Amino acid sequence: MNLVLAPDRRRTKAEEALEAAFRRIDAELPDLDRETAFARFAAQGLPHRRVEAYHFTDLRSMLASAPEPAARPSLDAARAALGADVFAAVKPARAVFVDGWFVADLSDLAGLGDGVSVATLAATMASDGAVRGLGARVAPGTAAETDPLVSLVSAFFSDGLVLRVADGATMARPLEIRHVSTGVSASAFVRHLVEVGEGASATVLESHESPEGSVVHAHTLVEMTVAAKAKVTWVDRQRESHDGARFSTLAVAIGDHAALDHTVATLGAKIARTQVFATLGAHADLQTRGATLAKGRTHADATLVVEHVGPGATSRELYKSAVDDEATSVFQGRITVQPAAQQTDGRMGAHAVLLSDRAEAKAKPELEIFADDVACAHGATVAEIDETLKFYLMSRGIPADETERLLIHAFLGEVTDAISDEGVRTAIEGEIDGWIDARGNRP
Amino acid sequence: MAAVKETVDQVRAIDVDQYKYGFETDIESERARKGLGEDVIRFISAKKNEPEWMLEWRLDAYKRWLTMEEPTWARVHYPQIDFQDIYYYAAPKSTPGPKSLDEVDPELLKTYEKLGIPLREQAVLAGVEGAKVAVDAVFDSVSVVTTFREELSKHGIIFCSISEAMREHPDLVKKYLGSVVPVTDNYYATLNSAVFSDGSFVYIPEGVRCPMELSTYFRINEKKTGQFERTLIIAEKGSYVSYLEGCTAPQRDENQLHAAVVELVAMEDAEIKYSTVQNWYPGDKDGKGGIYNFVTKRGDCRGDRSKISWTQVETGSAITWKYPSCILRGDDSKGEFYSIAVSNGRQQVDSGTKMIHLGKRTSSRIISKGISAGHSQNTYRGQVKVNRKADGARSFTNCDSLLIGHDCGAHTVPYLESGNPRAKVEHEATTSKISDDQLFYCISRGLDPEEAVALIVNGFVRDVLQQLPMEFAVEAQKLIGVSLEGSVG
Repeated sequence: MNLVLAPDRRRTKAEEALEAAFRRIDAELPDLDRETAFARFAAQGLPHRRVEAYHFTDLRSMLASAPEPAARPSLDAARAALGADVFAAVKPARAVFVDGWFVADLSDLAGLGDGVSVATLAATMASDGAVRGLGARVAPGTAAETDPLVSLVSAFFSDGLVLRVADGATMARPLEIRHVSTGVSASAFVRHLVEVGEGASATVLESHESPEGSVVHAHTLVEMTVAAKAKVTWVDRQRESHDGARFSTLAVAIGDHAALDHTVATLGAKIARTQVFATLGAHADLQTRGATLAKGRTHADATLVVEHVGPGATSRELYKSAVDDEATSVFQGRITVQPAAQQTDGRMGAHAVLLSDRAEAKAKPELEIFADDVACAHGATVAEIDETLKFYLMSRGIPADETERLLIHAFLGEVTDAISDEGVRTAIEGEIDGWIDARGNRP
Repeated sequence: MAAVKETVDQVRAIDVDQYKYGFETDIESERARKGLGEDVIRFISAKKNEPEWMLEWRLDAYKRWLTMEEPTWARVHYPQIDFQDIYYYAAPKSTPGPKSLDEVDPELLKTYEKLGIPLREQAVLAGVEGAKVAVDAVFDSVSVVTTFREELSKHGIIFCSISEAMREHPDLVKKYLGSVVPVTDNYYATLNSAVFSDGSFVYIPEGVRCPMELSTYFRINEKKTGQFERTLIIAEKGSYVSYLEGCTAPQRDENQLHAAVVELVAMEDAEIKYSTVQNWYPGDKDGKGGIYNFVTKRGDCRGDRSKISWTQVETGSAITWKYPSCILRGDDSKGEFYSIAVSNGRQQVDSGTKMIHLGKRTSSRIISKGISAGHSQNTYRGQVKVNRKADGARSFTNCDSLLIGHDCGAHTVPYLESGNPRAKVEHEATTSKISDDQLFYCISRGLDPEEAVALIVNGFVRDVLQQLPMEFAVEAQKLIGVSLEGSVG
């Protein structure tokens, strides 16, 4: 077993730290085959710009360090870290992870309804042999399998949630999976499993937050299977410290006639990378949307790989970013249509608005098509806020400083408007407006 | 409609295995030993009577090439190339300096005639009166004959082979060669810098509008010979030139490597229009044989308000790896890229462009039409990059792909990078098959399915065909028809 990085190359500080941390890893979750996952990571090391999937997000040069994996926090520390109840309006059940560790005392998992089970990965492993050896096994045959960030979570995760919704069951209320941080400089690794049975429906709100100023490297991996005819709504809110890093991956297999409606809002983190790897069965439906707001000297990357495997599926991807100060936004999206996926309907849009002279946006919307009877398209734009729109608003009597705020709100509104639950939509819009207001007036 | 009819006739007349231009000409040739080494480079340089600095330049490139790795990022698959199993130089046996066409080997002239490329201008123009085309015909690696030189020289235009330019105009060559595509730009460009055999050199002096379309026809003839063309075009302040490049090659079983480099330099207010029709042997229907076409083409809009326009029709080659690019350095400079890439059989195309916006108010426009049929894979790969200082830059990209049949692939890989809020970058792409509605309509009007497809495809690529000089447009349209043969029905 090769647990060390390829010897022919000098390691970066971050790689050295990860390697040392792996040797010391806590064996609280046994039988995981973490070694295979780490070996997969070690074979390549941190990805760099010559690795095509990381062309715009060169982690080898960007990650100056990799903090130690966090220790389990005390209950008091965890309680102090809990933060605001952003989704209070929809009264969700709640699973709380602090520094990557599940805290039962702060969680409320009651009333999710018949056929819905929630347990920690640690507890599930004790009773369910199928979860053993999880380290090496992530979405075989997809782009997620070989992704270095996925390998890292698989090697290091401390705990996670197992959410199972039985065939035909409906969740009585949404589940919020809240990830917070005590603010210690540390890495947190969490890995969730979600299984939604045939014809079932589920709503999950994922939330990530860390106190401003903390250097937290937060890694999350969600593996989800959506069985035939099931419906899932997933909203991911990310609000990390502007000195920290957020690495999120959603690897999802959407079954025949099943649907996933996914929204992600990213506000914060010095380095953020949000990955969605989805495979679509016959007549499946994927809606995924993202709003990225980047300021300061930060870098936010949204990467999608959507694979149409079965025929007749539909996918809609819409990612928008507002980029301020010296920030950079990256969008990479690929729609792959496999030979059997005839009658695929795929449409991808990526739009960035640059709000300052030194802001940058990079986009790579890809189509990879092996079937002939398809209708696929993508569009991408990068520009500043349209002067004629500003002029129009001003001519209607709106003050100059207000026009820009309105227009940014409207630009990102296309993403948030599609969130069907009003309470959730209002919560996300509130975060976005808070970000816009914090910019101050800049006519 | 007449043009469409022609396409259909072509499709009927030609079987895919009977590549129309697949014949060989039997001319004795002189060549370097097989393989690559300093001795071969010295041999090439000596053969061409090159000055010492040129030899040094080549040797330096060769040393750097040895340290480089073959790029693997393109979506093309081919067996490892054995660079020691290639002849790097082949020249038709020289009769000392032909003074006129009468002195040129009649075999050679016949070859061109078969290709429909007579050297005489009227014939070249295929019935179009008034226009003139000068042909710097390249037969394998050496320019055999250059016509119209006198008329061009009246305007101060230099149009000659690059080896001749090295001897006659060393200052110009020294100044510009490698200034757009640096020696170590990429693996194939570096290889080309070491072993390039010949190519064209064009210099348009200040304020001159070149009175005719300049044209070079390339042929790969000698067995197992790599063809390493080097083209350098310089348009001085306020000048204009339109350059045509067309290629056909004889049928072969063994893969042939082609790694050309084209450099364009446009000064203030100058404009260069570069058009290519590429129809090299694509291999047979099982993917055997065919040309490997690894080309580096780049234009440098050095002066303000300069313009470089690339138009290409790519129907041939087993593998195409080609990204004609523009560096938009001068303020208000313009770059354009119009492309039709047709792939059929087992062809693999990975082609596109790069537009690098450096100057203020620079603009670029990219129109790419990909058509895949048979078992081919057709990829558009393009980059638009806007530098922080490129205030008011505009870029528009449109990539459309058409799929014909179940076993081919069409891929679009654009890279957009903008670092200036006052720049506007737009990209759109679609992929679809020929719609049943359109086909049904055409068939209901009495066209047979093959004619209907030809009609629809011609409509699909029309935006690009319109950018070609007329005599090229006709040829290109025929080629597209021939290339899609066997994919319909």
